Amino acid sequence: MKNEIKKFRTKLGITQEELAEKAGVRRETIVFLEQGKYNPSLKLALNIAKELKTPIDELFSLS
Amino acid sequence: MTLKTYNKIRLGVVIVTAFIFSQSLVLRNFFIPIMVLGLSSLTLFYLRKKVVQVIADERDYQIGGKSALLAIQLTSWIGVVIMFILYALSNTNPFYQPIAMTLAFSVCILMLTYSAIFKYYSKHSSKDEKRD
Repeated sequence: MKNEIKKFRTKLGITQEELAEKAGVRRETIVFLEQGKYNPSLKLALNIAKELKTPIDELFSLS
Repeated sequence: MTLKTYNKIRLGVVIVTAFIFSQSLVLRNFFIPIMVLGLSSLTLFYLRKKVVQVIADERDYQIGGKSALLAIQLTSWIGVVIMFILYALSNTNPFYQPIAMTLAFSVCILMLTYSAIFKYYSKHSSKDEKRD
């Protein structure tokens, strides 16, 4: 699964730490997500999409 | 309280508990270790509640699940192999047989407990909101 978390996060000007705090996960999880090494649960994906003010289908896609 | 402070305090509590625990057992006092263990568990439980940051998330639980399964499989295999070796050598030393029996029962209990907990979570996982 591919994601555009880094792109949308930098566009909003928030750090990994801030996104992690808002999404309710540890910073390491955001790092792994951005590197494409971890596939999030649906709940986390929805939370991240909400925090990044982006539709989930724009944020995540099947590679 | 930050996660860093919590981890430092936790390390201190573990070191102190381990020291008191070992010294009490050397002095053949079995009341103090139980009290210390209970007290340290309560202290860590209380401190954990005070941490504002996320201590563990879904990725940690996923890794924890995989690690636990692998640890159980490894322990079981090692236990079974050692049990057979001890059984084979029980003719040379009769004390090997009770050790082999203890190992065999420990492995059985471990696997049964794992199966029971797995079955419980497979039925109730959707209600387990805390792990989300």
